[in-house]
Amino acid sequence: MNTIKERNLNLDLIRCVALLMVPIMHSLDHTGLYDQMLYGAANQFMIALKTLFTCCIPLYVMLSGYLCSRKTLSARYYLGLIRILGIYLLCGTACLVFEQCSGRADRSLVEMVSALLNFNCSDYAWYIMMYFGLFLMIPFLNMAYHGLKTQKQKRILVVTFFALSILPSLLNLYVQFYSLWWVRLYPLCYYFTGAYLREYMPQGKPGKWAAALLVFLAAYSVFFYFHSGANGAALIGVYQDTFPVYLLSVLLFICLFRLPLGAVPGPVSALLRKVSDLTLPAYLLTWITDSLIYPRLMAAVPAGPARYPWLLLTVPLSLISALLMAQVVEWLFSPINRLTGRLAQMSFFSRNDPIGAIHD
Amino acid sequence: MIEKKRNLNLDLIRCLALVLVPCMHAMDNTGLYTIQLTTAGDILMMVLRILFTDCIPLYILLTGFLCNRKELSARYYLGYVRVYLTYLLCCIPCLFLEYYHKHSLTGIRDMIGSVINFYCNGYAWYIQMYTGLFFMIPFLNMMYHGCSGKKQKQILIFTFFALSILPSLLNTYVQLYSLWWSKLYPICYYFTGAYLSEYMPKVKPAKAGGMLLGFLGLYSLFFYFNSHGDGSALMDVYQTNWAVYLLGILTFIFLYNLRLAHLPYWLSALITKISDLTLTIYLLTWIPDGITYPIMVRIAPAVQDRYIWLLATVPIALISATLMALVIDWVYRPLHRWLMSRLTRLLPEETA
Repeated sequence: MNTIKERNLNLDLIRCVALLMVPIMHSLDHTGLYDQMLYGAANQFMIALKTLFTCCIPLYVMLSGYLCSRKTLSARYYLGLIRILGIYLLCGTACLVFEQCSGRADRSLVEMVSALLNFNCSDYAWYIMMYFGLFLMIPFLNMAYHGLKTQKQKRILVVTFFALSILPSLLNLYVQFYSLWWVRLYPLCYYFTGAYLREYMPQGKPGKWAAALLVFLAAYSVFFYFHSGANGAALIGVYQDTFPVYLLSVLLFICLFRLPLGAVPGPVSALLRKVSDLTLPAYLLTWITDSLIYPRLMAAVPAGPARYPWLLLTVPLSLISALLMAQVVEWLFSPINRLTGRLAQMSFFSRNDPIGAIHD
Repeated sequence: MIEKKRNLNLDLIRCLALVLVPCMHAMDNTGLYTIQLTTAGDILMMVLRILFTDCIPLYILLTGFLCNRKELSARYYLGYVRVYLTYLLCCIPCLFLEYYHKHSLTGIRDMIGSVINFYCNGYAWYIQMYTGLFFMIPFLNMMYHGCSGKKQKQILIFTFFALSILPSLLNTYVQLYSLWWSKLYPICYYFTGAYLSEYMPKVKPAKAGGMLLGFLGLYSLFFYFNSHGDGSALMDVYQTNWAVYLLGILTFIFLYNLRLAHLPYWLSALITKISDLTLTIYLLTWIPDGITYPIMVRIAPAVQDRYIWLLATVPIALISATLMALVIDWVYRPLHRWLMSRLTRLLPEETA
């Protein structure tokens, strides 16, 4: 009895691309890009890359919106937390042990537990801290989304959250004249955008969407160069809550979704699925590989353009070794996966909706 | 004309929240946060400060109580005119104060920026927060009414409580809980208010008042010993604090259950009138506060000597702000009517 829906390979591709972008974006943090003036073709190219790769987290959150927008409030839903928090605890512990053993940190046991609970165990764990809250809110966000009857109303929903969280970055380009109070809601804006795309994914050949993406990216990079006075430090401000990143993420999502993957050879699609399954632990574990690689790069090669070609080596190295470790984590976690599966069969969780039906 | 009968208890809650605002701001100006709390006066101020932090929670609980049936429609958005127009009119006297008296603004550009960015008035952050809440309300209502039954609504509130207010409880001794979503606290209060509109506990006012005072007493004791009497810890007693959340709810329930039927007519009329002007009065207390407290600080340099002055400064702030609010209301009413008649004409025929 196999009732698993057929997997959409494009969604796996989006997850894999997002995963790839993470170590690229983090690699830029170690090039000294933000400490210099961005003169020269290599630096200017980096502006475009940094802007594009900041889309990694938005892609993840949009995917959550795309995939979870039908989830309803039920005891079974909360079982999903076991995997997220379990994987996090394993990877977080690995990060702590790594830091302790390599002499990078000297924490007491209490400090280690506190670091785990506070999502301080690595610089990349903030995502789990954010996602944990998003996860708890998702059933209710879905009630708001599906409570709306028309496409127009759903657009107003997305625009409202856009206006509260991302629009400030556009309106405050020259002078601060728009309120920042609700900026932290930006994950909700990406979530609703993903839910909207699930229902109203625009048509069009991927080439067209890719062209739109590249034109916007180029135009924004030129604009950024002149607007920031070629100041590398300003690149730190190109973050998930800024309008170019939002637009690029939406364009990239549509473009990747529209790619015709029917002719992809079997092994490649199997690889994509495998990597897609490992994204969460791999993402968290790049903290270890990045911490091993970049101090060496920084010691060996002077800051600036001389480091850029090295990223072609460091990024795959970091990603592949993190993926291998992620596979180990996945093996370690498999008994808990099985347990969760068994729990889901229990009457309390398997009943259609123990807390009470909401939709449908 | 089908006008629903006004619930005087809600007006009373709004008025009380209004009174608490200058009381709380008075505490901010005494220097209470810079001292070690030792004398009986200090302790009394500490207890009052904890209680007065309820002001903003009471407002948002009221919003949830009153607005949870609002739906997404063009007409709904027109409701924002009232809020923003009130704010803009209140900015005029505030700009005079900032430019001529405090000299904190440098020129016309700065003045415009201060209005748009909500810093010409130190209390206008509420408008900044409320603006976002206002635009989310139709969607928040879908979340609330999308919940089928009391239990789901409780889970909804608990979720937002866990994200925004629970950290203050769990992090009392060590930081062990994430703060990422703590800015969601107005949404937690909003849903709580909506819940109270449906499931208001029926308790005798004396019992509710007793619980309020009992909890206030217990928390004050706990706070005093936990902070070792350090006044600066009071700054953390904020809307995101669990004790303030509980006190807000208890105060709301207490005031809601008070029997007001036998109130003299003039008093209920006064409560209703002030309730209509709360937003204006709230914003305008920035002006008397900006004038009286620098004088108080000069006259009474020692923190403990300042407490007695609050008996004068708080009424001055409230009364003068109310008088100014009456003037502003006189300008506001025709302007609002004119604007709304224009804007309503632009509305499409009752579409969503």
